[in-house]
Amino acid sequence: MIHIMSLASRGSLKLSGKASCASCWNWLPHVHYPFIGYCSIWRVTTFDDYYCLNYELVSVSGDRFYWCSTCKLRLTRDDAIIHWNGNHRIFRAAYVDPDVREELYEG
Amino acid sequence: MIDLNLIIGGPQGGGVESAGQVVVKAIVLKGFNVLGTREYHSNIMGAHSYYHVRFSDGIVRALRLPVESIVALDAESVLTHINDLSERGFLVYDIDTLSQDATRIASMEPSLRRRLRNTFNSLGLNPTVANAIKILEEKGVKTIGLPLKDLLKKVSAEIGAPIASIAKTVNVIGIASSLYMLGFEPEYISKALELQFGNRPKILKPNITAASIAIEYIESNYGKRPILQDGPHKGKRRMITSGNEIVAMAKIIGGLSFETFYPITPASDEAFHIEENKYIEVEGVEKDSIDKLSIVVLQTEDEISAINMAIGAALTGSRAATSTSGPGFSLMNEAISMAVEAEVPILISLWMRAGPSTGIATREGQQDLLHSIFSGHGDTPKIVIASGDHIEAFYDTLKAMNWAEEFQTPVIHLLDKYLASTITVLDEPEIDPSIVDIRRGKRVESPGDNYKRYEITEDGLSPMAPLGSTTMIVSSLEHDEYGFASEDPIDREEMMKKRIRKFETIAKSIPESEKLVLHGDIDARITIISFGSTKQAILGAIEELEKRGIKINFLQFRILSPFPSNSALDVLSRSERIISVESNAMGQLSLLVRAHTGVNIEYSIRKLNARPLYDIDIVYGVERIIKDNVKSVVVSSGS
Repeated sequence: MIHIMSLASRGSLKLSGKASCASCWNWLPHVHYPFIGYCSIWRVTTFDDYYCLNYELVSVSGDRFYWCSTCKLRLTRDDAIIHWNGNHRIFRAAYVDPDVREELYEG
Repeated sequence: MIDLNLIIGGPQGGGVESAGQVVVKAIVLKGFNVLGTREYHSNIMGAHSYYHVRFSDGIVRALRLPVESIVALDAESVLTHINDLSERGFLVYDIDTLSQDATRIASMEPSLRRRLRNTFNSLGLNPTVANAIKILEEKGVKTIGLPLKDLLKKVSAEIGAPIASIAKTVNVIGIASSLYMLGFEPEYISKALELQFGNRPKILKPNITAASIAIEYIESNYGKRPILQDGPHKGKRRMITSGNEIVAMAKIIGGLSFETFYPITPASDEAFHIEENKYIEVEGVEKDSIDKLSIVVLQTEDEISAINMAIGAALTGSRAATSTSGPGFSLMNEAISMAVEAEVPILISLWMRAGPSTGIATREGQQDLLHSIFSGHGDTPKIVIASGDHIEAFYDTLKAMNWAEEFQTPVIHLLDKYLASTITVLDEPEIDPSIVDIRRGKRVESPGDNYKRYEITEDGLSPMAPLGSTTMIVSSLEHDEYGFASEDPIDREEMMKKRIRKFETIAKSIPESEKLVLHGDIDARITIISFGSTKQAILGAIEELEKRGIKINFLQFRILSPFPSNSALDVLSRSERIISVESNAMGQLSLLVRAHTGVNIEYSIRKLNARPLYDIDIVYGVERIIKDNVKSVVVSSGS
């Protein structure tokens, strides 16, 4: 059973307004349409205003790659901090729709 | 008269191309003529790409700006095309993008960002989507904000499918809204989706649902739309094809048995299409044997291998071709020279794009004319033919394969990115392969022991036997009649003369009517000269200029090598003003005309921004030349 609900249906559950997939560490936004993304915990695609009890606020800390959804760029930690400070939307990684390759050029 | 243009814009890889193809199919089902082309960025994904479609109940020769409808799947599309929308048009956009600002859209070209910022700032505004909407509405444009995310949620709820599968319907929500606004009945949209995704039911269902939810939304918020009358071709069996596809079809039908390529835009889709369709049913042949009749399509490690493998295949008696674009063609130069020296029949389909170098890899350019004519070191005459549209591309491919074998020479078929990615609709009789017979020239299957591969003949053509049929030598070295390497001065001179005689035979054998075509009134005092895919835009411009009282004819150069000097001079000497129309900076055709005829082309219309040439560009250019007496006009339309 997947416990994902939309914010609109969360009833009296008092979570922060930011506590949705849109700011969750476990959620990977779609490269082109970032209101859709992939939850790496539940292994399903969700809208960005969904949430669940596995919510974990995204942060830039570990030495790893990050995804800037604003710039559509993969970043190192140092660059991710600069983007974060510029109020860009930073995520752990991006969700690449496997069908995207159908529309790419060859070189 | 129905004559409408629309643009679907979105992120590269975000379903823009499929959306464009669905729109084209819906238009054809509704009975109209159509032209649709894809403009896309040469990065991997995410940058702005768009599909431009024009449809009409009359002939559609070229795309036209401004358009009557824009579907903007993201903020960048709204801002990029803000000047492309007609005042009587409408914009479909996502309401969640309203707050987005051009200065924060990282995928947007920095120069465009600066231009937008300056334009908006001069109006006292920030370059946001909301302000763009305001500007458009003040112009009289109708704007239709879609709550894209909510509509997607509705699709998800209705079919109970995972969001992953409905995420791909964003584009369909956009185009269904636009087509419905234009007066398309929902069933045409559904049928077009069935044609596009019919073999993938899991994809089809969410898309059909998305289309009906979009239409429902438009209907309840903007009212029921008046129905657009059907076009004159409704119910007819017609063929939708791109330039890449029609060349592939011609190669299959024309008996090609070996095609090589190294992936490069805009050529690769041609080879992919051959590969997808290489098994063809042949009357009287058992199905089990069909694989023996199929075409070998080989992706090689680079373009050097591609052409050399094609040369090898041709020497064994196969009908062989390779396909590439400018950078790949550069790598093929040495082998082209060898093919001339060794008299090897190969077809090279050269899909030009915007150079120099990798330039703008996915955009339009006509910059390889001189490169193709002068390709290969040493004296390397070869045939160069340029196609003006899809129908010419089909027949030219068939003819080019014949000429390669009849004259044992490389043939370079000039095509370009615009033709490659432009989809059109054709009636079946327009494509009749029986018009061009397959001809393979002087071939011998059992040449005997004293076979002279390079026998000196009056017409310069020697009987060609396949490798393996007898002892024979083929190499890149100068040779005697048997093919043995020779540096003897008499042998050398005879072989040089033989190759030149062969080129003269080619020039005499190809009828003048194949080499150049005069469109329009022979007595017109102004003549446009051009080659390749500018043809239809020029014809469209001539029609428009005639309505404005300006009579012009158009000399279309079809065969650029051997150059039709006398016929060209005959026409050009009668003209008072000659204007060259080319998508290159040097005026490559003008240079060629001057070299062969002595006629100096004083006037030019050039398009250098790597976008397709529109008929309105030429109308503008000609009017400026006539009214303002300028000699050179650079036209800059296109986003």
